[in-house]
Amino acid sequence: MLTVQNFRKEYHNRLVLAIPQADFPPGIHWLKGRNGSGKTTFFRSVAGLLPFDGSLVLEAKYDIRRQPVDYRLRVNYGEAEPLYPQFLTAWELICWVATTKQAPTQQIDELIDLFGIRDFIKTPIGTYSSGMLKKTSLVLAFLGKPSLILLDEPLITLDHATTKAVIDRIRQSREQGTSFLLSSHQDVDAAELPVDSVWVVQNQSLESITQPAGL
Amino acid sequence: MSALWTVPEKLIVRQFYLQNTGLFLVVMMLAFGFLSSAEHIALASYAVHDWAFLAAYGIIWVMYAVHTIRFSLQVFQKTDLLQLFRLIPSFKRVAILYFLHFQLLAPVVFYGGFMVWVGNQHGTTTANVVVVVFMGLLSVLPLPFVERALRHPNPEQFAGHIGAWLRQRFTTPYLLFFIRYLFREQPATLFLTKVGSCLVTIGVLALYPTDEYDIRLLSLGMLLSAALHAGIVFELYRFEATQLLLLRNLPVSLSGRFLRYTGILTLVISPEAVLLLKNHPVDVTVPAILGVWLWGLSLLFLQYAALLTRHQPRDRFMSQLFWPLIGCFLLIMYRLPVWGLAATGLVAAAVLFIRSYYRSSWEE
Repeated sequence: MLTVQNFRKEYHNRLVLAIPQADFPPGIHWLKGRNGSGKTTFFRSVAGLLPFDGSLVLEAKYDIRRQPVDYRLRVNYGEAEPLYPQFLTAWELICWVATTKQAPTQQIDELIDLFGIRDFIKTPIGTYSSGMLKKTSLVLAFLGKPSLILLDEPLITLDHATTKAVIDRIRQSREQGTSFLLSSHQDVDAAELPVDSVWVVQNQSLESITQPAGL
Repeated sequence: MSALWTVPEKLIVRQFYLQNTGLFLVVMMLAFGFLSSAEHIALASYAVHDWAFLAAYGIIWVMYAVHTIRFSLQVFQKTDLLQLFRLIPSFKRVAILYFLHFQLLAPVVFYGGFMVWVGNQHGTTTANVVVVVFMGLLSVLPLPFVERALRHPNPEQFAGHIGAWLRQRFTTPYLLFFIRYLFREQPATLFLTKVGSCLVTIGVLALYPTDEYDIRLLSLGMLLSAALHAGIVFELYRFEATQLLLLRNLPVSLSGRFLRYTGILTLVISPEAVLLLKNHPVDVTVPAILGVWLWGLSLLFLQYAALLTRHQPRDRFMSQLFWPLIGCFLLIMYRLPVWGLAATGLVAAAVLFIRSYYRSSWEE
């Protein structure tokens, strides 16, 4: 599903992450790592937000550099700590992202209700709590028909009901063919969210660890 | 004591001067680019003899003081850490706040000192006393406002009924995101840039018929206008890199992105287009005046593309514009056609943009 080759990312000539080769088959993949290990840098690079050296190819067809539009149409990203313009409303952001990601109208309504953001959707983002902001970022991450969704700490700051809704939605999307790269410091019941592989980001690299039966 | 001083000094004083580099650049260009030292002394001499002229100086100083107070209040209201100021004993707190804000007023205080020096030469004791008392009042003006801000942290922002009504019915198109950001979060930068740039445009249009000038005068005016926009261009770069990062994840082609940025910059520089088209000299054709405006647009885009090519902090970005400005000045003076300059500028901006967009990143 996603092939990473000769990936290398540096900040101010300081190596953050070097991944000679990594293949993520279709499924749900959990990335673990200590704070500051480079998980978010990797997610942001895969999402096309950060420049890097090396290659990323989705479904053996869409190279992030050669097919930047096709690639980005199929890769969505939910940030750990989303930051959006304070004066916009969630509705304005959703309309804008939905148009570019070619999301059907009914999907927008469904996601708004699923994550429970209808009550505040037309108020400025500057008035949101961190949980409301996180829910907005999750709606944006599921818009369109992505092949891969990157979710960086998708469960932090969420209430219990929304946490369950997120897990259910990930499982449901997986059954429909969407793959996930997740990072989370929170424990998730393996029965609720079956993970296909676990990777660890450490020593400035990414390594696959034992195939899990659950989390 | 040192921590009590250094933390707010870094948060308020340093940030104020960093964020207002563009403003000071414009003021320096206007004050020392057009006026000689003898003319400065002549103006100050006139002011210490004429109460109306002195009052005009006073109004400018008050406007500057209001600008510094507004900045300081924003920092106090948004930075929870500064609420710890309330725990400091009153006398010490007031003293620290006084000297912090005195630093913000330093440019005005220096100019006031210069006027007192000129007044001494002329023996205008009353005017000198007025200037000194006025400076004293300006220096204590921020204190009640800051004290109030400390007692009312994180005030609820009332957006108004019209804003709420509009939000329920309309959505902002992407092209207007940045324009809204400027109005909402950078009104001073927007106001000063546009006033400065429009004054330059009006000035060259008024100067043109007074002698045997040609289109190069208008091109030079547009060059200066474009330079004045450096702060706004930097804000566009910062806004998208820090608040709209998800833009880079969206499936939009590079040509589509280029056109969108062209649209945003066109909106930014559209008042100058209106001024040029409405007041252009009779011997300058509309296509030629459009060429002048496109020259300005290409310069704005080149500044943006330069930031994508290599990340620069705001102050360094501003200071590095000097030599490119001299280069453009020479190109104009060598009578290169303005349409040629505009087309070359836009093509160069497009090439830089396409080469650099996905390679660029904001660096803290």
